[in-house]
Amino acid sequence: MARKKVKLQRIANDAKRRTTFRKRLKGLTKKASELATLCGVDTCLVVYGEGEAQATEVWPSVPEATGVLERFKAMPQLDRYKKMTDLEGFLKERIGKLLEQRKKARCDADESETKLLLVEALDGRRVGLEGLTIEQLTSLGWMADARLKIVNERLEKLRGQGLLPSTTAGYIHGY
Amino acid sequence: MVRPRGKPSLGRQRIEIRRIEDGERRQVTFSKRRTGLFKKASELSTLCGASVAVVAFSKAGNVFGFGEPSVDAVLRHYVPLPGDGAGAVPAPAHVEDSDAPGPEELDALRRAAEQTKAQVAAEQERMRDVADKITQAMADRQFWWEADVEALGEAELPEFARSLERLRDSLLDLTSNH
Repeated sequence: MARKKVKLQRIANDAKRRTTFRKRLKGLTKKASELATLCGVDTCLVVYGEGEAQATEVWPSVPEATGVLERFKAMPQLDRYKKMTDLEGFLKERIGKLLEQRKKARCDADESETKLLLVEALDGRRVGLEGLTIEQLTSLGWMADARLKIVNERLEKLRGQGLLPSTTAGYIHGY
Repeated sequence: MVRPRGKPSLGRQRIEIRRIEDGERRQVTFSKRRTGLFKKASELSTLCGASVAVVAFSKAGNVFGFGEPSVDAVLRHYVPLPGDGAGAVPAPAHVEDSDAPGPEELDALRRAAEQTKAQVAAEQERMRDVADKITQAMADRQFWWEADVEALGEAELPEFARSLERLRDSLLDLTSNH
């Protein structure tokens, strides 16, 4: 199948548009069918081709779709429209979800960069901590502090178990 | 030299089209595929000028719908309410509501979505690059970083603590002078 990025706007070429319509309609019903089967849920589809007066496609079938729509109409209005969207709403929702993803990805990447700085600094490869911005220095400080807390907790635990002397200052191996 | 990255996940797996028994997995699938279905329906509408309505019920009985120009407009034409004449087919271009966004606004939304998607990918790429550098920097001293009590000897942990303390103190000096 051709895998070219299609620009999302009305296809100007009549023939191409009709072909695309048929292909995509077929794909749409397939996806609807998969959703209904995998999740065992009532689903229906009503499509009017451009300029068509009669419904081009009613899926799964007229009687079944009518059944779903009856169930839909029987719902109280509030419940019916709670999760209803159109193109604008759908696009805005999508943008919202992507912004959340971006925020998280940014956060994870920033944290990783701080971790790299910490590893390099402990390795002695960041002499004088030169060239770092105030934000980097601050984040680095917090991370070093957090690590220190964990290490000290572990040290306390070891001391409690008697595996370490209460002070390690002046402790010399073998004497 | 950087080690080749392993595959982060299994990727697309062919699944059998049968009712999913596991409730949690079924719910997740419903959520994802419903979004995908709505996306395909929106593309069909935009690319081909079609009017579409998709209605799906969840197992819990909630109803989810997508419609262009709107679910109501499409369904009203399909099953006209008593009193409705045989009206024109609600075409996407037919703007009944003056508040409804025009094609330029929708296009702007689509561009914004694509842009944000690209930004997410960029951040994830940055994350992977840094992760590689970290692995290289830690070399075979991975356990040293994790302050693993088992792996680090009793002499090494205090040394690690001292290094961290020294670093933290230098940082405090630097940041408090700004």
